[in-house]
Amino acid sequence: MMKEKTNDLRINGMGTASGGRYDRVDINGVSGVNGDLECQDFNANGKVKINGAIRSGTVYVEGLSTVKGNVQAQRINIHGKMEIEGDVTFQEIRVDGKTRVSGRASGEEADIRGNFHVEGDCDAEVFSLQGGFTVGGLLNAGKIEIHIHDGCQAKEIGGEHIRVRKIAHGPKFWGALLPFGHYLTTDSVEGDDIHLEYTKARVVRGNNVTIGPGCEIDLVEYRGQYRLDQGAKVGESRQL
Amino acid sequence: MDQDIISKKDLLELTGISYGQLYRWKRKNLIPEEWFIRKSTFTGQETFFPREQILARIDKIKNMKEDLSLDEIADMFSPEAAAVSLGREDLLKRNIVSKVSLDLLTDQLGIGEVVPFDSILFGYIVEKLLQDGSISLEEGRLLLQTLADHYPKVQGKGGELIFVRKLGIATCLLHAGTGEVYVENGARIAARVNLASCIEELKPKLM
Repeated sequence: MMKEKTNDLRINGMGTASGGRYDRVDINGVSGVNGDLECQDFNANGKVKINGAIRSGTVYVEGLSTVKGNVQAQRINIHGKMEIEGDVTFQEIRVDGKTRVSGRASGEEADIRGNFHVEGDCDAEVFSLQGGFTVGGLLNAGKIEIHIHDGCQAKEIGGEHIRVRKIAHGPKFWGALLPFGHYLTTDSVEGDDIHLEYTKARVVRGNNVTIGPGCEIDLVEYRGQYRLDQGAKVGESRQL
Repeated sequence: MDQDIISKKDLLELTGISYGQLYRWKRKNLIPEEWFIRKSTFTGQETFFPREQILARIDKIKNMKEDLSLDEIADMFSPEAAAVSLGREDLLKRNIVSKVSLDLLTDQLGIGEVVPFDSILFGYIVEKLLQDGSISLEEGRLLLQTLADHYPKVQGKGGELIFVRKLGIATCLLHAGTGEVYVENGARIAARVNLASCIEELKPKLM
């Protein structure tokens, strides 16, 4: 079998290059690429702007990268900040820092420490996050695991196992004293097993529902078990 | 209108599936995005579904999920072409097209021994319309030509084939959406075929 020979793209320092098909793309410094990139490995260090889409086996970003189009990759690792002005599709995404997606995000596994902003829908089999996020549409995942450290917001949340927690930093009473702690704010949470803390929602519906401390929920509908923490406010709860 | 839709809550109660399952099927594209209809109610925004379609779909998924993975089921429902082609003999044997439509297909599109998925689909649509008597053989040619010329543009997006007749003269159009179509009073819509549902019907027959 003939293997098509592709070249590597390497930029060090300042410069621009054109898109195309490469084996490995290494960009260090302040630089840009004009056009779509298709490659096996994409590595960016520094301030990098891609005026096009990226399709790659792996994407590794340190520093600040901006992509004008869609990003599609098996594995995405972001240390720093990445802005994607299209959709992002992945098998695995790991963010340490901040990522902003103007379109939708979908894939298998998302592991985020820091901030994650998606303007459209976000879906994954596993979505775990420590930090803050906004999802403009529906956050839909098989397993949702959120540790609130910053503002969290989604239009709607749906999935199988949904667990939202808040771990207090430092002495516990500071959390209780501060009037504006961080919350997860959403219209509705629907799932099979739901465990919420510090969540403000209009409605929560599920099989087994636990409403923990700090929650403010207008309506809870459940089929199986229901547990309510003393520190939560629930307007109305019904068993279906 | 209100009878034609079902609320999410009623749907889950009626079918016995859980929220988790519904969201999982949505993620896997087993239930199309357009079926999630948002409406304001006195308790806030709620989601509704087109009743007949969603009930039929959930029934099918429940039946198929014993034997197929969710991804395989998603392929069945997707309006994307299946990666299959069949021999002419096979098409006849499996009753996908009759001899008449196959000849028409050969005549009009010049297909060879092995028929690719798109052509099978065209043949299947013609066969359907010829069978129920809504078009004539000659009109079948027109239809095939329209599909052959324009189908690539609507491919993967669903779309509808509409057959209009006025004073015995027929014309055929391919509509890239599924919205309503209004025709002048003298004309009549002789046939209307939803491509996505045709593909959905056809795929299991090819497996």
